[in-house]
Amino acid sequence: MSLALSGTVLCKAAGSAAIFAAIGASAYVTALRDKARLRRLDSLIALIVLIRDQIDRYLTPVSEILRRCDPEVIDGCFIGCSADETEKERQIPTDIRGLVDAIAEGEFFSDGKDALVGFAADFGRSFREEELRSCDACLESLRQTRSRLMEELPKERRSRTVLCFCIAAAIIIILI
Amino acid sequence: MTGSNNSYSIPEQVAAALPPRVRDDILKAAQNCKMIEEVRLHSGRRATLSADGHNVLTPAVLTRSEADEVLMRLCENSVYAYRDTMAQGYITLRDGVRVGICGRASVSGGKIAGVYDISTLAVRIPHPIPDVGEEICRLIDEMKYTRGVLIYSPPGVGKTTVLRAVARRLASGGNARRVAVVDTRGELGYSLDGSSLCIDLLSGYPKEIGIAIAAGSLGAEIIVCDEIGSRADAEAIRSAHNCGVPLIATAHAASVRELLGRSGIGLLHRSGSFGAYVGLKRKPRCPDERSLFSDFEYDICKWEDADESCLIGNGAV
Repeated sequence: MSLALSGTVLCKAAGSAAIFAAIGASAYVTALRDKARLRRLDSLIALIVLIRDQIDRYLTPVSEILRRCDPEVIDGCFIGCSADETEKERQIPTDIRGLVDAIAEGEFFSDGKDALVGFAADFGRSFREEELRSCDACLESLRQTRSRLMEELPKERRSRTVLCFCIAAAIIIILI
Repeated sequence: MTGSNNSYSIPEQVAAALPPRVRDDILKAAQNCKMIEEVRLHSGRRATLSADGHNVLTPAVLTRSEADEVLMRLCENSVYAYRDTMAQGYITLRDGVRVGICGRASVSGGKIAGVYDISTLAVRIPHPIPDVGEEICRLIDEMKYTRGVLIYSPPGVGKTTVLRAVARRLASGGNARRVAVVDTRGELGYSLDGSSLCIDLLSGYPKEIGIAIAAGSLGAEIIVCDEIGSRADAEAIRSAHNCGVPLIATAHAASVRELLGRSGIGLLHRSGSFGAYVGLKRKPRCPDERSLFSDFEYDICKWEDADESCLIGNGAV
């Protein structure tokens, strides 16, 4: 009798531990995803700053800018794209529209999507001053998205964590 | 270079920028040409190829929007990078390919601010340097490198090709000279990047500035420069000549008299900057000749003879 009882208690304890572990892991993954979203936005901002700088100082064609760009910045723009693509040597697009199309395949494209699509649509068709204005507008929009994310993500994370722990507690109570 | 029966057909970067239908038509027409010098693309009209001094009509027709797209692709989707030269009617691509641009200009403050509705794209194709120009090098040597040479001919004969060959000859071998090449339009420097050449390439510099740098800070022994004619060019060449640096240059003209009739070149003639004027002609080629290159005939006119003919022409004698 006491053996059967201790077996049931053990099972419940193991079940509770598994639920807590699953919730902990999911909270950790969510935190990583939030970090990745911010890193991707940071890389996009760094890329647009570089493009702006190269146009402003040297009038460098965009294909040349993308070729010279730090590979970490380019890879950062592709965070959220399929792992196969990141592992094998990535074919860097030679124009902004190609780059945005490639980034669009990623899962975090909604962050800064409007700014990027608008920027890419007319990029390269006008002269220096117009291109610099377009870069500034895109940067402004991406920075706003980033600050909004910085404000929203901790709140979202807190509410998600609280929700998860409530669910876990509820399941454990039911189990007991 | 893209092509089938010869190695010097349409440059790859140009072929890649064309719509497939137009590219196929042009490449098909190019198969019958020995060496293509120019491809002229028109919106709403048939494209032509210039080869061996003849214009060949192709069936390829670009639409207006296709012409705009082709220009965008040739500009590597970065029109801002080509603004200055585009306002002067051309862009220079890699490997010295020059594209002349014709369309609707938008003018602001007396300057061209942009070109829209592209109607013609004239793609000038550079060729590897043939083994020519020996006579011109000999001429400079005879003048002990103290005076320059001006090569003249009507457009399309091959002045730039000969000038490149002369620059390479002078800058190579056991008796190599320090040659500065002022390449304002980015087409003269093509094939002049050999590791054994004693050449300083001033690419994209305005002529007068490039000549001043070459004569001053680079310590060049000879300056090579394409298509001179303005008074600003003449002043810079005269000042280089005063520093003891001769210049080999080209100019559009059909005769010495026409050449010296221009104010800038007349000024240079009076200052004695050029010791000789060389008229360039292409030798007629046999139809069964296997070489891709035409040979040239040089009509050499020494400064003294030119001066005399100029005076006679002006009725001074």
